Amino acid sequence: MNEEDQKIREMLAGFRPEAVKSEVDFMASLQQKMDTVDTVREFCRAERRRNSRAIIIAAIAGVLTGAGLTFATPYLTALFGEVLGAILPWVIVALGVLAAIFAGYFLTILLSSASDSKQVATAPAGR
Amino acid sequence: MDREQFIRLITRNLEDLRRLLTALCCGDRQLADDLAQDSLLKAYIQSDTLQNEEKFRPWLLRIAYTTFLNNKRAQRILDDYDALCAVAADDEADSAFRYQELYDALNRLGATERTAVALYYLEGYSIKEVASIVSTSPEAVKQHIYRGRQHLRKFLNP
Repeated sequence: MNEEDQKIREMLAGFRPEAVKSEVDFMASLQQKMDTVDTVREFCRAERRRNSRAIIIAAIAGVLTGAGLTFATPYLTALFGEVLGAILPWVIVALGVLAAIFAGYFLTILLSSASDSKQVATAPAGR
Repeated sequence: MDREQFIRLITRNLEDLRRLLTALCCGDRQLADDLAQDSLLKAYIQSDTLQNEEKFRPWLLRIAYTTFLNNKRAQRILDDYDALCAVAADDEADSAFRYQELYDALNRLGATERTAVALYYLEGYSIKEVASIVSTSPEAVKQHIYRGRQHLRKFLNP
């Protein structure tokens, strides 16, 4: 290390600027912001959990409805006659599966949101 | 990393972080504190990605440096940075006035030179460590420190 380096280091070694806020105030303000981050984090985690639960339930509902309606296609074909019976039962299967998937997804989201808000309302206050 | 662990680590490094940012902000202590808060929040949000506690300090300083650069860019867009530095230099109390010459000298340096000088001389990092914090090569850091030293020479030998 040359002399100039040493000189700069010595000069900066005494650099202790007075802060605007005390460490306690600084940390208090930081902790408040961290609380907000934690709240948002918890919200995102709950959303992810709710979403994946809804996806699983929607998939199960779709598979079950699809299987049920597929087994019912012979009856549907007989019901609609030869011309319409070739296409319409499959349209019904497709629409039924879609309806089951959407209903499964949105109902799960709706019910778990309601149950979460009930839990928040009954949870003890404060951190 | 949980919250308590994070707080324990930042408490250990808080003074150095605020001092470094004050130097980078040419003595604007309010801006330095705001950037310190922003940096610490960003660090807290990303704290799950840090596995090794020993790397916390350089990791935090890298976040602080990026936050400082982003802020400087935003200030440049507003075309306010120089005016802000000038106001900060004028309106602060005696303790800041004590370092006025140093702040003036630091203000003459570019953002990267200032950061390299502050990390090397103020925080005592090696060239290699400074390079990893500012995401550049050790040769470039040597250049920045050399140029920074040239600028500071006037301040050192008035």
